[in-house]
Amino acid sequence: MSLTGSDINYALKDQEDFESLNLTDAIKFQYAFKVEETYQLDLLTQFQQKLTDERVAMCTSGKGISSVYHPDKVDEGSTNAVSFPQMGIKPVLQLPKTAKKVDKFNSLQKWEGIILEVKQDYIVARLTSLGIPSQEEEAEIPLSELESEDLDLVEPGSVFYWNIGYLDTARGQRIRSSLIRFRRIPYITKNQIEGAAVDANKLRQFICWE
Amino acid sequence: MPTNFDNSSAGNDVALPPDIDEIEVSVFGPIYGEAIVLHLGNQNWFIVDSCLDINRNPAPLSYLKKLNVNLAEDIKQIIVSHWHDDHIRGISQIVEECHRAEVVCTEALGSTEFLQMIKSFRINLFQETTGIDEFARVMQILEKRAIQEKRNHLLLKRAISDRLLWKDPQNSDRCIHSLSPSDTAVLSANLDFKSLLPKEDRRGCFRLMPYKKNWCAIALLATYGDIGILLGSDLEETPNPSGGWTAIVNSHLRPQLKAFLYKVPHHGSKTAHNNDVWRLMLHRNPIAVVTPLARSGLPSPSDVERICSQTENAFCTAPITNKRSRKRPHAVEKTLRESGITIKRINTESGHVRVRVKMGEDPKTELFGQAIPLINVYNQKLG
Repeated sequence: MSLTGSDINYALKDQEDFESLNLTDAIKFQYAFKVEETYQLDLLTQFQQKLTDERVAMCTSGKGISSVYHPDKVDEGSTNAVSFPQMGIKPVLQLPKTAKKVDKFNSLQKWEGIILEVKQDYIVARLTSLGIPSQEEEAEIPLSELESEDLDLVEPGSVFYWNIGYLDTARGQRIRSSLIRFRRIPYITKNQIEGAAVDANKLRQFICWE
Repeated sequence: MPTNFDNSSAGNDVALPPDIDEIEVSVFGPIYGEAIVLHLGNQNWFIVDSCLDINRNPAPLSYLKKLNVNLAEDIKQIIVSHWHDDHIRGISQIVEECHRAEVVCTEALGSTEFLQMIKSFRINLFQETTGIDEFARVMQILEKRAIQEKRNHLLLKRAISDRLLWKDPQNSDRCIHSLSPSDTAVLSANLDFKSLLPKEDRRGCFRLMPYKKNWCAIALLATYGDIGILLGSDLEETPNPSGGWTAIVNSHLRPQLKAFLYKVPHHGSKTAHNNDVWRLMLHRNPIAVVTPLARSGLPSPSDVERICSQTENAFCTAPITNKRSRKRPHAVEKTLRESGITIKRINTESGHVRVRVKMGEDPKTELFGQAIPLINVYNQKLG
């Protein structure tokens, strides 16, 4: 069996895993794939200076390697361990690698909203669809739909983003969700206020109404 | 005044331009927004306010383009009656395209306080524009134009009570007067603007919400010979008789001409009603046009009853309906239902009431889109 460089990359795609191996094991691991010669030499070059000649020779001799491990080609019933009968060198254990799963939100409808009025237990908001620009709507949203941390931002003129869709969790669950996030805008500075006053005065003079 | 009334279903052609000596008043109003196009003969066109049509284009521009009006040359004035969102959306695009038009706004919108407001709140921060964004863009366009044309001032005219805004150089009986705002209303507005200015101790660039008073809006009287047109904008009565409609009725400086057409102020609300306007400033049985504001429930059933008791010729640019939003994915609909959230569309097809009249003839009223007689405003069934 001859494996290509891409096969190795697949097997060792997690750089952290690779670095956690000790050097000897790393070389044995690589060799267990019977890599193409050039690729193999590249790998060895990386470690050669740090290992004794004996160990390098042992690792590259091919003796004692009784099986080849490939994560995609493990027979059912067999272990993932590669047998290394010689010299008590511990076998390489390779656990099946899977991509880390994260929560993912699939949005079905997105709006930008602005609060027009705040009533006792709901807000009236103007909504602009972020998907279909011509759609403009107004909604009455109960305050109970908002996060408690956002309640101090609830006032006319506040802007929020509203997403309705499915939350696909890392554990494989699909949850229908409505997420409302309020836009947090920095405080205006004294300089900005003074700058606006200067600009306004200039513009006023340009109007020439006096 | 007698009037001919045609419905658009009778096959009227919206794109048919008026005759050279024909006056036209076109009122546009989806359930959110209002705009007026006025023709005072001889290709003298005016635009008062702006609202967006269903394609989010300024309704007056879309209409004037259908009539093949030369926007760059024939639009004489663009009047910004006030800065509320429902009257100003798309106005900057109109100013951009109508190069020669003079822009008119209230004295209050040229005040240092208001200018400071438009300089303080960022433009293009959000998807939807606001009155502040629109007016800031208008000022940018005017500044740029003044620099290009090497002028040391902006082409911005101020309107205040009893002021002549425009007069046809060839026919001195064709003119437009502003009837408001009064001096006290301007002062009051400046104080309100001051209170809206951003302060150091609070969040800055959220979207500015206009105050709800409509004391500083520009009411207009257009005259063509002895024909008068009263356009009420959103002007409401004020607690002080030196402002609002009371001040206009009592003014001896305004043209003492009765109007045959009345754009009813502030969506027909009771707060903008003055009996003396109907008695002293309008012909008997005038044509009255109302634009609805669905969110505020205007005009209310009692408003409809009151207006219809004053005239048999009342029209509304759109019916009051809680038009359902478009169909969404099932999961979205279910989430909204379970959360008790209701959503209504606000940009519907723009209704259009068009009135045309020639000297010595009866006016002709045409309804396009969703426009209907006011009496049916709560009875209209929509598909």
